Amino acid sequence: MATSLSSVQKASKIILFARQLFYLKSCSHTAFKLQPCFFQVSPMSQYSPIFLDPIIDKDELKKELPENDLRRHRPLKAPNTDCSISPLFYDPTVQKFTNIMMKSGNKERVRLIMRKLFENLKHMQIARWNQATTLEEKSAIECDPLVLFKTAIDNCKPLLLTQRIVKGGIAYRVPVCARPKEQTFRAMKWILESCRDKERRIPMEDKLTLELMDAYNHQGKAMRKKQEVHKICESNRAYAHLR
Amino acid sequence: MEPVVLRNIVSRTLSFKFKKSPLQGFSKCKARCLSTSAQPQPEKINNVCRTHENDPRNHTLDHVGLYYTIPVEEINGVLKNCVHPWHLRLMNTFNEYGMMVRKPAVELNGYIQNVNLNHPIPRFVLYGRTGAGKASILLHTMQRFHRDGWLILSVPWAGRWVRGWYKEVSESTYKAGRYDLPTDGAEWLAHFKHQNEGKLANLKTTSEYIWTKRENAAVGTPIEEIINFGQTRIKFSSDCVGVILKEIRNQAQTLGLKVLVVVNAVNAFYTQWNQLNALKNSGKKKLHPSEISLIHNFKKMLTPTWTNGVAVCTVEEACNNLNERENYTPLYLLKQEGFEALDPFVPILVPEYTEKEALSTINYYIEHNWIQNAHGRTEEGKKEIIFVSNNNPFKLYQVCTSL
Repeated sequence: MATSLSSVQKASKIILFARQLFYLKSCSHTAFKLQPCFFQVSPMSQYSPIFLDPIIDKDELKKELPENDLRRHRPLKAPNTDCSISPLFYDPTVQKFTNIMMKSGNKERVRLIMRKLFENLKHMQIARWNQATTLEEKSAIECDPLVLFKTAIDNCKPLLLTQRIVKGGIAYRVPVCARPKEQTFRAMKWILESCRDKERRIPMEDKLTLELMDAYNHQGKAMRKKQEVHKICESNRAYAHLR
Repeated sequence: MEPVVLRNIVSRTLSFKFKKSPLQGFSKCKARCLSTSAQPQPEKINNVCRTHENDPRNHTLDHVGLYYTIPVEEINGVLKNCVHPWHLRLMNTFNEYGMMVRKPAVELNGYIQNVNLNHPIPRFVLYGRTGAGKASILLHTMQRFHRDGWLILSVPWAGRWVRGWYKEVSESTYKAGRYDLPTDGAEWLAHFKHQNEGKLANLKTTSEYIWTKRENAAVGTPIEEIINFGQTRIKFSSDCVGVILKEIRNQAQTLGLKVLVVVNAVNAFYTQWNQLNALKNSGKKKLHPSEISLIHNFKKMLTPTWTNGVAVCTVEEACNNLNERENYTPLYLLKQEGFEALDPFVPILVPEYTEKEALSTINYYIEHNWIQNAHGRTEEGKKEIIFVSNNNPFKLYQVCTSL
């Protein structure tokens, strides 16, 4: 009993320390390097900072918690529905794409579209694979839908983006380096937008299949969008110092 | 008391989820445990998923759970319109028409093979959960008896005849108070002709049929001519179906025909759709299935009033109203009326996959490059796929589509 009490006291001290750190962080704009694992608080989190992350790893779940583990005494966050432990059904890129495509919280529908999209991609490539006769031809065909999907998005990623900067009453479109997060976001957004422009009667998954296969082969509307942006950046290179 | 119970439940679920025992697949070598020095690699043994016995007539219980291939001619011939679209698409992609031998199929084929055809027709009802593979078993049976030269009368999906929007419904030309579905009738005639190509030459009518003042079919008209008439004058297509069914019933014994009647989703014949989905006549009155002449004619094929035939039906949850799908047993789905009409029948349960069958399917997919996920090809991944799909064949396919 005594040991557990002392550990609780210890824990509460640590929490206090953590809160102080949190306030420090929120007051000062300098990035804080040292962050303990229980102190990753997102500014919009619904949970109070005393909540700890749940265990999602399968092997770790089977083990017993150590005697002085904080998770024995502190409340835990509920595991995220999207975050599956299985490499079969979870991929961060796919999840990001799903969330961008989603409208009005209808995630079930978007997941269905993604499932059918992968099915279409597989049907397309594996039919070719089965019809190919020589080994060389077969090895040239990429059958993994995830690889196809990721390569298509990588191909659409822009290197430069333009930023609107007002100097002396005139707005300039200044070329800036795109951050990795921004790159993926723009690539995904362009692919989705180019699909939404097309005819409405065609199901989304079919449009996406065509668009992704185009992007995989360095063609298509999203690809052209990227080249356009690059061209604007190239023509506005004189403003680069305004950044 | 409570925590103990809870722990029990948790441990049971966990033991199911994280099963320690390795997956038991099919083995080529039965006596592999006898020699310790030359033990074959377990992975290769578990990957057996196909049989080279491609003739459904020779399938026995030894072949259960293994895949065999169907020739393309039969897929486009006798099995046309009967394979589910998703299944056909998968087969086309694989460039091979493979299907699994299931235990109920072997059982059913054995029953039909040993039946005494001089008695009134026996009836078999396949039942099981949605996606358990009832329609696939019908395919197996149809293919098997088609090879034996049986005449096949199949309804690929009876639900098609009882619902539909903007479907043409006309007064029957034969009897008042009954309704025809001209396009569906013509479609069935084409389907029937396609399935039984080359077997209808001996069939001729035994009585005269008068369609209109000028058009009639004299005694001895070949059945093929009646089919052509029904296809060109689709107003009379339902009557033509009635004529063909009647002639087959009457002549089966005298001509020595063997007839296999296959109806998928037979409960559509007996249950009434709700106001939204039911077919309506020109006066907006909703129609009971028995008022539709196609169904009226086909119900007669399911009565034991004739010989030299066998009727095989399935009951499907999807053909009942949304609030009547709690159970999948024949009595519940057919309701009192349908049950009494079909009684006595032989019910055959179509169970979901056993572990061996599920593993065989996954291996078949892997063999055809369908499962691309690297984790899905490991033992752990296979276990997980089986667990997530809950051993349901259709669910298993759905889970594997995105991998």
